[in-house]
Amino acid sequence: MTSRFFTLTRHRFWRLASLLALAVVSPACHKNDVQFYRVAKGDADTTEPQAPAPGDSTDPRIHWVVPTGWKTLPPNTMRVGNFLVASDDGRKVEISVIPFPGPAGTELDNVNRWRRQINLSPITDAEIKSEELTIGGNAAKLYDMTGTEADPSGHKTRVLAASALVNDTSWFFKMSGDENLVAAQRAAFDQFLKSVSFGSAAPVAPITRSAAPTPQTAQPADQGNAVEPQWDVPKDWKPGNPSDARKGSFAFADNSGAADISVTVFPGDVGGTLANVNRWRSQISLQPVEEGQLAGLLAPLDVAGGKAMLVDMTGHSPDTKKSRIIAVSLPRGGNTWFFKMIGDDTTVAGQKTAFLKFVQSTRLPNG
Amino acid sequence: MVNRVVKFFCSLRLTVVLLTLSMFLVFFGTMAQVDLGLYQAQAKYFRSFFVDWSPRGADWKLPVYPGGYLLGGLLLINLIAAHIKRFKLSWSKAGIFLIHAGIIMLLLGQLSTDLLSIESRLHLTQNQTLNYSEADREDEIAFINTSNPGYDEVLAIPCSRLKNDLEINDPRLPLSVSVKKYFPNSARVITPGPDAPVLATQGIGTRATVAPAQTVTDTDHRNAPSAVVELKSSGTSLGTWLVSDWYKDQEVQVGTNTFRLAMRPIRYYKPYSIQLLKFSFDKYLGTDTPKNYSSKVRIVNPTTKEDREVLIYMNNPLRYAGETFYQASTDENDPSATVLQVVRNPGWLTPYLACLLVGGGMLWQFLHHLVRFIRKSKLGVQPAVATAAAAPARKRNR
Repeated sequence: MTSRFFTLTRHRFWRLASLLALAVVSPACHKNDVQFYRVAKGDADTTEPQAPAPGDSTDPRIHWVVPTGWKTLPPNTMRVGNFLVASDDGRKVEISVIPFPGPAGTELDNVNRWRRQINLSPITDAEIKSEELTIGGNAAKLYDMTGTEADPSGHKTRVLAASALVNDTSWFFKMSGDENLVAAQRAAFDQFLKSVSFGSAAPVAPITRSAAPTPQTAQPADQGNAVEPQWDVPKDWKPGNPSDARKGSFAFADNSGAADISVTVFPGDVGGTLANVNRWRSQISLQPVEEGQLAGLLAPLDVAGGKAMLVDMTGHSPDTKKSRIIAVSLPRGGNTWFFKMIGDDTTVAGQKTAFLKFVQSTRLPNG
Repeated sequence: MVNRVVKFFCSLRLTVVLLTLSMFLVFFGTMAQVDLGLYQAQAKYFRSFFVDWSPRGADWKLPVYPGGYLLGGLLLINLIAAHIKRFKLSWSKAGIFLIHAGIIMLLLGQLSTDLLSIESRLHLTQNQTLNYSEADREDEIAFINTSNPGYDEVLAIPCSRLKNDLEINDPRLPLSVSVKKYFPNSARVITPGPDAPVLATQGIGTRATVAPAQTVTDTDHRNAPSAVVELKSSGTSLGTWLVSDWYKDQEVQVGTNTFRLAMRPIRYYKPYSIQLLKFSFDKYLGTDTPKNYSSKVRIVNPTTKEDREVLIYMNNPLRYAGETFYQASTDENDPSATVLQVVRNPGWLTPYLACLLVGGGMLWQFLHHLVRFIRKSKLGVQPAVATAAAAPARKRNR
């Protein structure tokens, strides 16, 4: 009797198996569903850092409040803050925030650099005039200078520049452009400087709120165990602005100006040679070129393990100063490595040999 | 035909083949962790029906070996089928019945743990109160409607569903979302250089960007996904937005509604809150060797009117509301913060029950044979083995 009871018919067997599978699998199917729920306000994290105020810096080392009327431009290689004020009649004022590691030259070097930018002759230490102020609780100085040459419309160029040394980083805040517009924006510039506060160098990623495993960007798979490039850095170069995108970052400054040297790597060809060259051209205010014009701009460069492509172009920066860019792109293992030096024309020219030597000394992972 | 299928699933030969295949699967799956890392190896070898292989550079896959789900499923069916077909209920076989029931429960319990359990982390700084924990590895895009003064409405889409060109039109969200780009892992670019193109026309993506990166599978790191999405309201584009695990929430104004847009670890909200009162990290005197981690927390549950303090320390987790809070880690950047691992596992009792059943079954079988043996001994019936062994000796003594 009992054995008959426990002898399974085929129907019962398949029914049981199906039910088992369904019971286990069906709740699991909802695990990755879109979720919709209500959260009472204030129930969530009561001490969680708030999102940055609109207009705040994206660099975790510094925060500010952008004055009304300033247009925020994308930061670039050197500028962590980049703003523009334009009047209806086409006059412009640029405001920039640039950090440099260390003291970044003497006070006289900096003042004379700004003076050169508006075609003023150099001065001596004794002739420097400055205002004392505090930026983010740190002692700072503000310099005010106006060029003597007027443009065809009769306007002169004025520079308001402030500098502060904070945590071994020199911060330069500069407003330059049409004399009258700078005067009109002076109050806003002061307000901007007052709003500045300096934070830690901790990353802004929300991950830092959690001790979960650190977000990690893996090295390209074909790089094997050697994941970091190696190179011989010229002794005059100093460490440059740190950035997660940069494998290497260096800065050089002399009496003629400054240069920024970066090494980056991106998957693929980053849009191809033409796109890259035109992007570099746009950084020094040069018009884009067509595919047919590329050959005249490119030169091969022998590097460890192959040939790279070299571009050397001269243009000018937004403040009309002559600028130069020397860039090398090197495809390797499905990625493209970019070595780039950008800065004042004379400085870049003086460092070209050192830069090329640096590129040629580079040993890429598995390279 | 049906008979043949039933016979196949009941066969002992199938059991042996499946166990052998499982043995090799465990071996290869364990070895694969060297290259793939724990999580990817688990997914490829054990949380799959087939182990796929594809030549380097190819975009197609070939199933080359049965995966964990297939082998486990077949073993389960084989065990149930064979047991049901051959089983005859009697006192002498009751132990075997219990053992098999225990093994079936163990297999089903592990499957349910695999499919249903949720592990997350609760990271609390000193005095911080949270009513949610966050997933270790999975992220979500969250659209948070903050317009209502009493509550926020959250629509969260797991990143596992995201892909390029995905269109999201959910009636609960007054926006349509078009995923332009999705990077399962990305590198942060705070000050985008010229080699990092600007990805978005609105929000933080205009000032900062990310670069796609190869996904990571090791246990010490996790992926930081990013996506570029185009938001549309009533057919009008609100621009493209970069949402990234690297950057904070952004505000999007849609008519009179204000939304927060976030890429964040998946959140598991709870009907109660936990506050960290004190985290202690004791070391052996004069050394850096950890002696004890403990977190004194306060649980406030408005539903049950609970408001009490609990001490969580190593090997002494808090079990509360179906979840277990283990003292998991510390925060290197903040010595006063704690990290608790939160595990919700509906099947957590099954291994204990399975072991009880198997142990009980074995005990039953042993006692049953022992009692029978003793009874036979008392009746003067010598066991067959003893009789056989004694026979030659008697012969020699003659």
